[in-house]
Amino acid sequence: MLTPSRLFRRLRALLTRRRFDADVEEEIRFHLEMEAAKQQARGLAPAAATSEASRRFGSTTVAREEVRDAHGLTPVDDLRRDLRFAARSLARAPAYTAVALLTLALGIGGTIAVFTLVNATLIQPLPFHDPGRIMAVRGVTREGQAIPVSVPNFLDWKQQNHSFDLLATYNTRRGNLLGGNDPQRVSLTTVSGEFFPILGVMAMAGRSIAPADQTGDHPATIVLSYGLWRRAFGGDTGIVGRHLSLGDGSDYLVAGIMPGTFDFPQGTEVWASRSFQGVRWTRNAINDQVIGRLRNGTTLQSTRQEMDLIAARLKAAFPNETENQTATISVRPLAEELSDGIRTYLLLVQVSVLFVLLVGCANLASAGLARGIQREREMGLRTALGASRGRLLRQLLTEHLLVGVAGGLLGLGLALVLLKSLVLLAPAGLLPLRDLAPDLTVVVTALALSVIVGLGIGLLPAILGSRLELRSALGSAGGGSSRRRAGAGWALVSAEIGLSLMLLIGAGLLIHSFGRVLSEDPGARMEDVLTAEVFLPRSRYPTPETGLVFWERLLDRVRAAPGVRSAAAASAIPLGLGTSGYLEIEGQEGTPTGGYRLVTDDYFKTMDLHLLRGRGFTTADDSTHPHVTIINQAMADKYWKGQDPVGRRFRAKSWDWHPDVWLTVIGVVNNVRYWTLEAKPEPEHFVYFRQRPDRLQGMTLVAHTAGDPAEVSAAVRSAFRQTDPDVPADVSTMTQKRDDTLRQRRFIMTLLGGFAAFALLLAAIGIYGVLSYVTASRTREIGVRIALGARRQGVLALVMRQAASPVLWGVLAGLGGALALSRLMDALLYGISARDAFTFLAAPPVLVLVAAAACVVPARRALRIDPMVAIRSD
Amino acid sequence: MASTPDLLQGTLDLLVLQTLLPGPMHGWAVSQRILERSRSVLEVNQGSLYPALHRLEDRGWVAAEWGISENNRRARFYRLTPAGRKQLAAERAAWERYAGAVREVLHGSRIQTA
Repeated sequence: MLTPSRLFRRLRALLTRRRFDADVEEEIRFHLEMEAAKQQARGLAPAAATSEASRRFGSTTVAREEVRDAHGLTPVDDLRRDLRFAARSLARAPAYTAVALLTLALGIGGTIAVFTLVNATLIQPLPFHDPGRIMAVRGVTREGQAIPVSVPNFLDWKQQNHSFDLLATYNTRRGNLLGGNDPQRVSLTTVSGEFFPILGVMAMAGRSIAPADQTGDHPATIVLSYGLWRRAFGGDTGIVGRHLSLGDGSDYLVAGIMPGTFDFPQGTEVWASRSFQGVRWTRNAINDQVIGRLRNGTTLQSTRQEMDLIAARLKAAFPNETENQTATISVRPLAEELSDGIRTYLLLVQVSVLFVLLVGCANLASAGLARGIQREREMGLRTALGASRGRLLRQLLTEHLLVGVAGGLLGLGLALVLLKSLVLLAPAGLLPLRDLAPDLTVVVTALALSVIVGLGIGLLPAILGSRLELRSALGSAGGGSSRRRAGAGWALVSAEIGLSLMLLIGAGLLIHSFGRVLSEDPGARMEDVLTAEVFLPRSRYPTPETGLVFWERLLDRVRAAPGVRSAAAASAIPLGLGTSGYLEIEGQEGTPTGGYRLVTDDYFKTMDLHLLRGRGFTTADDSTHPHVTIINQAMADKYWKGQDPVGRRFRAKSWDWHPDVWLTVIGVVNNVRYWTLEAKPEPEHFVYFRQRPDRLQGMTLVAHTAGDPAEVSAAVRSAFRQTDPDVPADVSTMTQKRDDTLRQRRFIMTLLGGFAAFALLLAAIGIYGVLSYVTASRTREIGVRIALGARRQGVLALVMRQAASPVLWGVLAGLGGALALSRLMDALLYGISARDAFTFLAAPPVLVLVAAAACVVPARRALRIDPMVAIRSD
Repeated sequence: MASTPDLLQGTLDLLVLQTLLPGPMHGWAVSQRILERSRSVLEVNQGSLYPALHRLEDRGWVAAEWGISENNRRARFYRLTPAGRKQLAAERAAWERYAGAVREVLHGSRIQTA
């Protein structure tokens, strides 16, 4: 029994190993000297006495070993010896070792990285206080779509519910930050006072926004993100307590700076307090997101029931408010809502990484098998010299364990690098900006995984390898065991082919779908367009007239700049975010909706929109003339199908500042895509800035340039400075915006493509390995065939045919697997089905080509077999 | 003797424990004492004494420390621990029972054949 004191003695012996060995050595030497002295005293000569002493003692090596064994040191010694042996044997096969380590490192590194991501986004709680009680509360349309909430509705929710301790609104947009060194365009989230108390996150410096802010005598406050604070204020805490402006006429006290780990809503740089007082809010303006903290002891179910009641009550009380005619209320844990966008991606990436890991394992196992034949003689020789089967097995396992653990450690290092670069490469908003470091559980799991993988891949060749018969191993290659190994090797190849094909089809679907997205016509000019988003600070531009002056001056300067062909501005540009609202169409019932765009002169020309019917705006369309509008094709199709819309009238009730003025349609232009290339064109209508100068505050400048728009950006910036140095602008280009909308797609496509390519490479190596092995083991047979007159084609066919059926089986399995898993892909595809015939037909030939290429080298080797040498060998 | 290693090993352990009963001594002295006492009947491979000594040390029945030998050399001295004394008593009793039983059988069979 291993009692604690005994364990302690053994540990001491193990830890003071050098000293222990020296002690044993000295003890034996002392014994031999005493014995020699005794023999000398009996009359023997010194030399004879020494040899007699040593004879009486017996083997000192055996004694030494048995002493070590007595202290339980032998297993440790054996392990050490096995490890040394394994390391030497691996060093003798550098190609195998390199491939094995690389495969494992990539497979395990990828697995750790992906599981860390999954852990951080789907499993780990949000980094907020008691995050399980934080709920996202949304309105839901009759179609089931989640929508924001109007302020009056929010206030009613807040007043009438008993389920939430706290409820708060938040609302993110681009905004101005003025009063620092340079005017900044920032991502701005206005929050009501309970926002930070709900999240329970403390400021890094100063304080966060409190419920009392912006009520009564308390000033409006903002807090800054860590990133903005470093970037725009040089990390100086002196900014806390100073005042900055958001350009809306109020001064904002900088109350504090949030820690770098706080990133909600994602990407926010400034959080600003807001007040619901002193403004008449309408239930039609639905702009706010709501979060709440559930009261202790309240269940999600009872909360949902209560909110449904409130929704029904509001619907009854305000039947004319459009929102309430359609909306119910959804209450979901915030964590669940935040992971909505990424869940599908992560699942796909998880499955892919697992596949790559499996292909890697299969490859290692088959490489191990192929290596087995080269070592058959070695093993046979060692068996002949008396090594037991268990001993050989243990040595083989040690070798694979060593590879497994070393690969696992390399993988861990790789995972850290991967995570860092994933955070850098992934499109904003896809990954949470949290500390993406593998936690202990993930690391331990991964290392356990590498040990299992090491053992698993070791076990197969080890079992097949140690069962070999001595005679056949020493005699000739190609006994029963090598045939058994070939079978196992081909099964592994089939598995690799199948898994690679599934990855290839997945990547193919994404690529095909990416092509579909790219081929969508945005409907407007993309090349050579510079854009600059502007929000005129109300403090400097309080009236419509001042805004009009700004835009006229700015546009004159930009148009005069060298390299600018034409310039205009619009309240929403293609691929951007547009506002839309409810319409009242003369002579029609129902609640039609449509996008509302305010444009200046030359907008259609600059963005290359085509007038399909009627006329464009002219300077004559000013406030003294009837208000006019131009609609898009989608609107014409939807509301005046088969009729001529020109001359029809409608009113934009919810958005327009002249809700009662009828707008007369004067023309129709082609459809343009907003938000992304994938979004279906919706009805939209354009109004003219001379008739609507009151909406000129948030506009985007567009300039069609003669060459690279980036070269004109300096001139445009200087036009801004000359017009008003205190108006910040987000300068970009249309192609940049288009690329931004594609980033997420491109990212996942590249990722999956990379996985597929890697798996394909591994599979090719696997085929190459197994075929080389099989061909080598048939050298004599092929030699005989050649000697008997077999032709080149015959030999070639003989070799290639061996690979054909495993590849075919693999392809069939892969096609089946891809069909079975196609649902995983559905949500990520555009324009094609997850069972897209083209992709399913195109992928197998790619794989077969790669497989054929992998056969070339072993096949050529078979052709070069010299029959005389082959027959005489062994 | 080599054909019954288990018996030998157990016996050797017992002999070593018994030898150490009077007081601490080093390995060579133990081997000499066993040789003398058994009138050279137990001509043990001297080398196998040391695994036995270390096995007993590992079990906690003897303790070892370095000391100075009679000829002024550094030597490793073994002494019985209290646990070792208890073990010796137990093993002696077991051995005597065993030896007695063997003797009984041998005597009985001699009578029968006679």
